[in-house]
Amino acid sequence: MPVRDAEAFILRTFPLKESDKIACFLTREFGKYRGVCRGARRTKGGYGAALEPLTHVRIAFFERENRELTTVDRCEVVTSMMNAASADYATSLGLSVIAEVADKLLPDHEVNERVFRLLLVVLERVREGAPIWLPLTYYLFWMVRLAGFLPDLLTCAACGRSLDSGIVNDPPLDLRPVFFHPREEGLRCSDCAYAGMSQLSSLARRLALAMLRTPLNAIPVEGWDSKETAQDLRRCLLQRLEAHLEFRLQSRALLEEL
Amino acid sequence: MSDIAAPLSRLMDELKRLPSIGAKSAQRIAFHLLRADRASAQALAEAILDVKDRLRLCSICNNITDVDPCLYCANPGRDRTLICVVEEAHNILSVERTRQFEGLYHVLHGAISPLQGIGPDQLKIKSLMDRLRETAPGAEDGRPLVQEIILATDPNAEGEATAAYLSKLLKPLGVKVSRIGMGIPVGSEIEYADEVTMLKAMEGRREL
Repeated sequence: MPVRDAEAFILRTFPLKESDKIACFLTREFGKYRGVCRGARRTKGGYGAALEPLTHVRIAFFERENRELTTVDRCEVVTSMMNAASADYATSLGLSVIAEVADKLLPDHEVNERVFRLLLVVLERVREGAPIWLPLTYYLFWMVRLAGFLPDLLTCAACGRSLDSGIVNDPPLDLRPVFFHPREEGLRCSDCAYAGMSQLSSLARRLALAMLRTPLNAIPVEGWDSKETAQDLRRCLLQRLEAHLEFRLQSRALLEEL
Repeated sequence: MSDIAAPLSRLMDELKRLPSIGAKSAQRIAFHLLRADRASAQALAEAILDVKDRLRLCSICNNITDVDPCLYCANPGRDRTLICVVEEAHNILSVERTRQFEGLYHVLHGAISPLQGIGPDQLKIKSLMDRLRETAPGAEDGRPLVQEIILATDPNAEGEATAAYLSKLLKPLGVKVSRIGMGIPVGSEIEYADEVTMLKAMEGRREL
């Protein structure tokens, strides 16, 4: 089989045998693949930091007939997240969530240029020093939207009325709090909400609507220093992802414990 | 019905559960043990049981030991003001091979790995914090006995996350927290170093 050369993000790795690793990587040109990296666990294995999660790499790999795993021939760093991840514990947790969502949500061998570009933008913002909560929320919002799970942010899923009926300013600044639940596909107004639903604040919905229209690098970082900022929006987005994936993301628990 | 005698099949099934042992390797090892004399097989079985019966964790540093405290913690000649924190007990052997480190150890038994759902609570961090409460002999100001913690976790994403977490936890206690150096392996060539490794090497440079 011919060697494929691609631009990729490493999503995660698993140890294999004495000194090898299996790398899961998302390529721009061919989609998500898993490949064996021989000798990658050795100090002089030749991979260096190239196989760390979310490293942007140039990777060469080849497939063999009837084999699910590819063999990685070469992997060179384009940009690394090691410095950003090691600077701060919250950032390293946020990056783990980003990698896990991409790994679990994207099907194998299916090209997804939009997700690849989203990762490029989000990780660049992290490297520039933006507090992790902004790029993480933006990433989750767009992953949910690109996957087609994003609820209607303006209409009640139960009664079909506008969630902000009576508010006429455009863009709407004074949005009403709404309600969500892991079992519900959409948002509900206060009249249709039931016990056990969580509240999505007015601020969270305003930020979500802004993320629909504004590129990440145009969103100011002010106010994003605290994990409390848009925490309800992140919870809502992660619940939507988990409801569709039908399992709990491993990294989410640690992020919420912070 | 199995083509292989039941005891042999059972042995192969047990061997297959070991890491890095597949069906072929299990078969090879099982037939090797079958051909070996009884004394060799018994020695292997006893060695495995001995490990399970006699080994435990050191009550101070969590190293794997047959005597408590372990030989490092019990050695009065070691520097008690210095603790090297490692992920696994076998990492101690790597540090000891240098014959340069005279301090004590603390084994975390893992590293923070969000992708595997392993958080700080699953590591031996609380016992490390307990060790830092010990005050220096004769210190009336309550100064801790331990003056420096060396974080020798692996230089990968999980090891770095663990180091970042521990550093945040330990620094407010007034203890010096240091990280092992990272960079180009001895015997390799700069030409083949990737940008991250080279950057780490430049950051960790020292004056000659």
